[in-house]
Amino acid sequence: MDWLFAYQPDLDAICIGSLYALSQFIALRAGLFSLGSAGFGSIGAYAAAIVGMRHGAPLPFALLLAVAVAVVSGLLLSVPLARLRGHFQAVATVAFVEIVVSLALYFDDLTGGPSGINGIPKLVGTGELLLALTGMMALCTITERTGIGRAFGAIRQDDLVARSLGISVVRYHRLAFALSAGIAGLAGGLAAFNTYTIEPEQFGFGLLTASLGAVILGGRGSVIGPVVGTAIFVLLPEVARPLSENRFLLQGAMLIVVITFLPRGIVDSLRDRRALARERRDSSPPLVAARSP
Amino acid sequence: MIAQQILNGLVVGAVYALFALGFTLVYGVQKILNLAHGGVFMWGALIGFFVVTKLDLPLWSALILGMTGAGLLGMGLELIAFRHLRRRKGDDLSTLVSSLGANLILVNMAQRVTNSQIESFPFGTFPIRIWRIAGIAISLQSIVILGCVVLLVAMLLLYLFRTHFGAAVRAVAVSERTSVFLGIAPGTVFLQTFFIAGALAGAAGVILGVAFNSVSYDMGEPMMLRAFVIIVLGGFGSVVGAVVAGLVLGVVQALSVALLSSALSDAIMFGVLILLLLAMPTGLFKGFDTEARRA
Amino acid sequence: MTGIALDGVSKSFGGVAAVSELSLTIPPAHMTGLIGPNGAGKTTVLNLITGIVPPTAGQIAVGEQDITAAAPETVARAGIARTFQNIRLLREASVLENVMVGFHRHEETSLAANLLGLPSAWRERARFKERARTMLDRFGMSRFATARADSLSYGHQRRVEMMRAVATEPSFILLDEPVAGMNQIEAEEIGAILKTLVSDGIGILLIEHNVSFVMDLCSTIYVMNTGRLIAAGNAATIQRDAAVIEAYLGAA
Repeated sequence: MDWLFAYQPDLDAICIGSLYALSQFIALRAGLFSLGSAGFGSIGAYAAAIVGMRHGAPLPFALLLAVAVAVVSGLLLSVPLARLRGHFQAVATVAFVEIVVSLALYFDDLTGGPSGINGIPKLVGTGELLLALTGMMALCTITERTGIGRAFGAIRQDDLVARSLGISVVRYHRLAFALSAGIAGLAGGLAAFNTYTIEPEQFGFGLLTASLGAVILGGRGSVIGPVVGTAIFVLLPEVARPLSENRFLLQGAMLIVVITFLPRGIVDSLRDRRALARERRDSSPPLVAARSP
Repeated sequence: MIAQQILNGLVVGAVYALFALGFTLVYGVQKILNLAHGGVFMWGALIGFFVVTKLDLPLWSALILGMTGAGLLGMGLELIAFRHLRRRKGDDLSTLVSSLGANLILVNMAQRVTNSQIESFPFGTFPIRIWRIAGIAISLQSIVILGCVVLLVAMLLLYLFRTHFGAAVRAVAVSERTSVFLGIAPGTVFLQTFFIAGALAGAAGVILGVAFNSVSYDMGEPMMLRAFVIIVLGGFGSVVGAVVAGLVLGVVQALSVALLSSALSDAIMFGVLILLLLAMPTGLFKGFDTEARRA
Repeated sequence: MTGIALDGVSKSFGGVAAVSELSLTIPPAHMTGLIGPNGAGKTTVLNLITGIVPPTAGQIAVGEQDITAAAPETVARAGIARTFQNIRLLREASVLENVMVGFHRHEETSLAANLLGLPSAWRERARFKERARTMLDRFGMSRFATARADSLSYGHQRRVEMMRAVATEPSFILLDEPVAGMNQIEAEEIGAILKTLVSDGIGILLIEHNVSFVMDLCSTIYVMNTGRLIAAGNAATIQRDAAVIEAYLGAA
């Protein structure tokens, strides 16, 4: 059992990282070119920490507030951004992440400035994180299987066709912003009460890259992908000391290698291979079985 | 007082324009949003810093070497991060992810090399001389900076619109497929574009590093935000637009810092970006493929 | 319901007039044809009606509702469905899933019910699946239910697009070259299906190069050339029209 305790910080990191990755995942599922999860995470983290530390609010309330504030921010941001497409949308959301970092740095009365908020009690343990992760994975899976998922899929694969079927892209992108922001806000709030400290720069480019990277590495096709990707990012450096010392170089290199040679990510590529093998075994006519898009 | 801010803003804006030029050029020619551009900028500054402090060479050589080094890094990006993706016809997200991975590597290597410290140039690297004309203070540094930017932009325009190589770049920007039929090798063009973009970013890096006397591994991040605003205001891929928008942004920033507060100036910039995206997402000027045709 | 009416509609792209002062009507429960040589502007007319491009002049209405320059979603909700010249299916999804997307317009489950995974969401999904299967039966595509859309032959893909359009329970369907690339037998099968749709009360606009296909099925045929209407009438009238013959002279 000691062995398990030794890995607990890793498990915590995987849970929190997976939540950010899920936030990124749900945005991509809806064809939303948003990379803003880190920014919503920051908003959630600070909301929870401020209301918990300065105003003595209990943990459930702090987390609820984190999600609520993040969702509201997501909806606000969606007003100008839901109309944009592709690169324009991406640029705006990256800018959003930068702005949140800037604002957190400057409004130091509220946020503690560059040194952030310290000494946050560790009220969130591995159990709570696993619960939250399971809950969010369930939410994403349910969303995928119902009418929302069908609309998201249509918008993602062919925006024009979706519109010609009466699907309001703006409305669903707003929803996707809200979902993505809410999940990231939850991740931030949980992280605040799990890692003792939050400071503005931990929600910048680095987190943006990590959450997107996890989804790309793991696969964009199902909720397992982001979790697998995060797990690899967290655990692979642990395998050997040289890997651990160069973990960010490793991450960066993996991103380039995966997007170049295994663009569908690990989980989806494995599924493809299994589906292909299954077809070769069957003697029925060569119909390609549909995989979840 | 306002006039002073405007002048300062123009100087800073000129350097922002230099940075954004490389970013917008790559977009205009290859339709790639290179999020590693900030990392290249930062390495230009770092190389310049090491040239001055470790090799004891004069500042102008730091500029040259910083530009060259950054240009080579840019070419490296093209070869490692983007070339394969193009062959596979990766989508928008692929190039973005690849550039993020490259940026991570660049920033991290810089972090280790500097031990996460903020480096400063030694005192006296650039002579301090200030003139007063009509109540406005103009420093030698400002003049030199403006001079450098004007020179570099002029060289870029000359290259793009007066040389054979530049014509090839413009042809590829208009249509990669057609330019192949004209005997142009797009691969060479892409390498050139990335070299130029990197060199310009490197120049901006050295200049800003000296001007604010601070070089650190994370100096690229805030610059990207400015590049976004400039590229949206100026037009995705527009060379002229980048210059104009850069100057405008510099002035707007200087004024908002002076009149309001520096905390809000970033938020204002973001607000401006959002407004622009809503009102005129295509920017002031048409993209490079249109500019390219006009010459 | 009086049908879709175009009144003096024009569209220019830059300096090029793709459509000039076009007036036509697409009545319900009838099949209307739109033919003309390549580049006549037929697909542009379709794009104008469905809101993909706004007209530079003129009015478009469906019944009492003005849909000039309306957004594609609005036109879809007004009960107008379409297919595309270059088939646009959700390539990675199965045939069944492609058809199910067409039911979106008639979703009754609320957003909240969908998010929470309430029973009503699953019941609706099952209902849509059932209806999609019925649709596949009707179009003779049952054995392709779980097949990936882009693994199908050209002719079958066209059927999927048609099914998707019918799934929206439209009052009108605008078809852009639905039998292109099909052999005679396949085209006849499609023709039979289209006749059943018309007898269900749906008004169809048929854009086609297969002129005999159009002549057989349509009660009214419009002929376009270089953006203008050059003739209108039933099959017999059109075949004898001098302008039409001239427009097609030399064409296959």
